[in-house]
Amino acid sequence: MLEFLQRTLDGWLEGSAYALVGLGLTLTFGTLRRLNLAYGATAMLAAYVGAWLYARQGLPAWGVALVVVGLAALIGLYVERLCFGAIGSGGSTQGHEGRGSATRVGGGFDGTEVVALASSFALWMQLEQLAVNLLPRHLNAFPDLAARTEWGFFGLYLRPDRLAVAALALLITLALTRWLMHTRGGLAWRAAATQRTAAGLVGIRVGQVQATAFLVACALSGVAAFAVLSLEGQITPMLGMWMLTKGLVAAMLGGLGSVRGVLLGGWLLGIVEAHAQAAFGAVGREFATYALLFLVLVASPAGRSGLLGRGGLRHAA
Amino acid sequence: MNTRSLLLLALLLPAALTATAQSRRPQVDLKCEAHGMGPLLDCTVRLRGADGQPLPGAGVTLGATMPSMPMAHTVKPVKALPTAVPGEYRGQLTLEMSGAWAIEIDLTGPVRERVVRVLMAEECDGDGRCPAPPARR
Amino acid sequence: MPLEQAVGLATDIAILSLLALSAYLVLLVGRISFGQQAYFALGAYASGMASTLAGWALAPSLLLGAAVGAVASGLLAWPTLRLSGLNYAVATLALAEMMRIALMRLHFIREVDGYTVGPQGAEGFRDIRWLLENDVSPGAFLLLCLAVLAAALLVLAWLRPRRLGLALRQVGHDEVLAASQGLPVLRLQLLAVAAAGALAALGGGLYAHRATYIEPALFDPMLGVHAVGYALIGGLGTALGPLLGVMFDIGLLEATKVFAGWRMVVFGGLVALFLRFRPRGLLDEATVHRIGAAWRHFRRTS
Repeated sequence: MLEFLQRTLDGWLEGSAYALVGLGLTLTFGTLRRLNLAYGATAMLAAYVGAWLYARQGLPAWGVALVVVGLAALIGLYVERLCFGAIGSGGSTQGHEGRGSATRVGGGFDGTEVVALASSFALWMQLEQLAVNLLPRHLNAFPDLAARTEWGFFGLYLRPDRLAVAALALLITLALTRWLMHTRGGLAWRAAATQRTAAGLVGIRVGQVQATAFLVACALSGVAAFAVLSLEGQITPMLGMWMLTKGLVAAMLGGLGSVRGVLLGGWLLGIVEAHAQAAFGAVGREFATYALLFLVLVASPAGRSGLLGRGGLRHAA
Repeated sequence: MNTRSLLLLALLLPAALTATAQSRRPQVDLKCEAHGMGPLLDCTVRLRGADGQPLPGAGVTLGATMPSMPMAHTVKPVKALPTAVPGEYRGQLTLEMSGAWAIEIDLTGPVRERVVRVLMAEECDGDGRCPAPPARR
Repeated sequence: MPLEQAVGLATDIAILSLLALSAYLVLLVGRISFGQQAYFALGAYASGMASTLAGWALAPSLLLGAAVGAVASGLLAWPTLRLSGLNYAVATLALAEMMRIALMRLHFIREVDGYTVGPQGAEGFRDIRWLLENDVSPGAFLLLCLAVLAAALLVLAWLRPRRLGLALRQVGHDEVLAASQGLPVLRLQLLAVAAAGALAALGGGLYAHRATYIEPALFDPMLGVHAVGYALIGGLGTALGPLLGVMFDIGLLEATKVFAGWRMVVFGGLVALFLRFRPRGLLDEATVHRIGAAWRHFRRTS
C-alpha cells in the first residue's frame, strides 16, 4: 500500500513537470488555435544557449534562467512572424467561425492551420539543428539545482526540488487562469481566439494580442525547460522532442487549449506512467502513455475531447 | 494475352528465382574507433570467406545512418582501402553526432554482401581515441 | 557523384515518395496522419519475415506487406475517422508509437540455412537478404522501385477524373457538403486510408530489402511527419506533388552538402519562407489547373 502511494506521489510530481511543459503549448492553441510544432525546439535552443553560457562563460544559475526564458520568447517572436502571424492574418477564413469553410482540410481544421503546422515543423528542424551544432556532445552540463536531501513523512519520501516544480506548475496555472478569466487583457486574448472579427470590431488589436500570447507561451516553455533541466543537471538533444511529446499528451488529455486541463492531464499522465512502469517496465510505461492518449481521444464524445471536455476549439481556461 | 494473365506472369516470375541460391556468406568483422569531436570513426573490416580464409581483393564500402533517420543521407559513404594484412580493409567515416549509428558494409567483387552493425559512437576528449562498442539495448 | 551512390539515392527517393504518397492520400480526404510510418514498419516487417523466414519470393512478400498495411490501416480507421482534424492527427501518432513499441517486443527467430534469422525486438531484424541471394543488382532494384512508384502514380492519375477520384477530392474539400450531396463520406475516407496504408507498407517492404536491416527505432514519428511535410510542400494538387516534395528535400540535401552540418538550418528556413508565400505547396490546385489549361491551349493552337 505504501509502495502504491509512493509511486502515485512520484507520478504526480513527474506529472506536474509534464503539466509545466504543456502549459505553453496549450496556451498557444487556446489563443491562436494553432499547434506549434516548434515548441520544444524553441525551448531547446534557448536552453542550449544557456548551457553554452554556463559552460564557457561561467554564467550563474539565475543568469542562465533569465537567458533561457528571455531567449525562448525571442525565438518565439521569430517563429510567430514566420509561421503564425502573417499566415493567420492573410487567410481567407477570416472571421468565419462556421464549420463549412471552403478551404478546410477536414472537420475542425482549415487550410491555414495545416500550413502553419508544416512551417512550424520546418522551423522545428531548423532550431534543433542550430542547438545541436552549438553543443555537439550528447551530454552537456546544465546548472544543477537538484536537492541533495529527501523529505520524509509518514513513510513516504519526496524531494523538495520536485515539489517546488509542482508548486510552480500550480502557481502558473492559477495565475494564467486568473488572467484569462478575470482580467480585461485575458478577455481580449479569448475574444481574439474565438470571435476574431467581432474582437476586431470592438477595437482589440487581434494580431498584437495573439503575438503577445504566443510570446508568453514561448517564455513559459523556457521556464519549463529550465525547471526540468536544472533538476537533471544536464541537457541532451532529446529535449526538443521530449517536450513536444509530453506537453502535447498532457495538453490533449486535459483538452487542448485548456490551461486547467493541462494541469490535470499532466497529473494523470504522470501517475499512469509511474504505475505502468512498475507493472510493465520502461517499455510498458512508454506504451501506456500513448495508449492513454489514444483512449482519451477515442472515448470522448464527438467534438469534445479531453478530461474537462472543453475540446480546445473553445477557449483557453 | 490479356492484362490479367500478364499480371499473373509478372507475379510468378520472381517466384522462379528463389529456389536456387545457396548462401555462401563471408564472415565480416567490424571494429571501429572514434576520435575527435565529430566524431570521426576509424573502422577496420576483417573479411573472411565462408571457408574461413581471409578474403583480399573485395571492394568494401562503408556507410552510416542513424537508426532514427533512415534515409537522411548525412554521411558520405567511403571506400575502405585494403591494408597490408590480407583480408583487412580500413576506412574513415565522418559522423555528425554522437549516438547509435548503423554502419553499413557493402561488399562487391568476389562476393556480394551487405552487413549492418549498430555501434555507439561518442566523442572522445580532445584528440584521444576511444572504442565504439556495439550498441546494446 | 559515383554511379552506385546515385543509384542508391534514386532508390531512396522512390521509397520515400511512396511514403509521401501515402500521406498525400490521407490529406486528400481531409485528414492529417502523423502515423504512416507505422504502416511503413508493418510492411517492412511483414515482407521481411515472408522472404527471410518463409522463403517467399520478393513480389508475394511485398504484396503480403501491402495487404497487412491495408488491413491494419482500415481496421484502425474505424475508431479514429470520426475524430476531428487535429485529434485525428494526434490519434494516428499515438497509434503509430504504440505499434513501434509493440515491435520492440517482436521476437520470432528461426534457423534458416544454418543462420539464425528473424526479428529480435529492439535489437532489430537483420539479414533480409533476398536481393543478395538472388543476385539482384542495385540498378535492377531501382527499376523495380520506380516501377512500383509508376504503377501507383498511374492508378491515381487514372482515378483522378473519374467519379471515385472526384468524390475523394470533394470529401477532402468539405465533408459536410459532400455528405449533403449523398456521398458516403466515411466509406470513401476508409478506402483512401486503407490504400494509404497499403502504399506505405509497399514502401516499407522495399526499404527492408534494400537496407537488409530494420529496427523499431527507424520508424519513429520523424519519418511520418517528414512524409506529411513532403506532401504539403510539394502541393496537394496532384499525386506528383509529394514526389516533388521528396526531391525538394533530398535534392536540396545533396545541393546543400556544402552546408554540411547546417543543412537543416537552411532547409528548414527555406521551407518556412516558401510556405509563407505559397501556402498550398508547389503544385497546388490552382497551378495544376493553369498548367492543364496551358496544355490544352497548346494542343488547340498547334
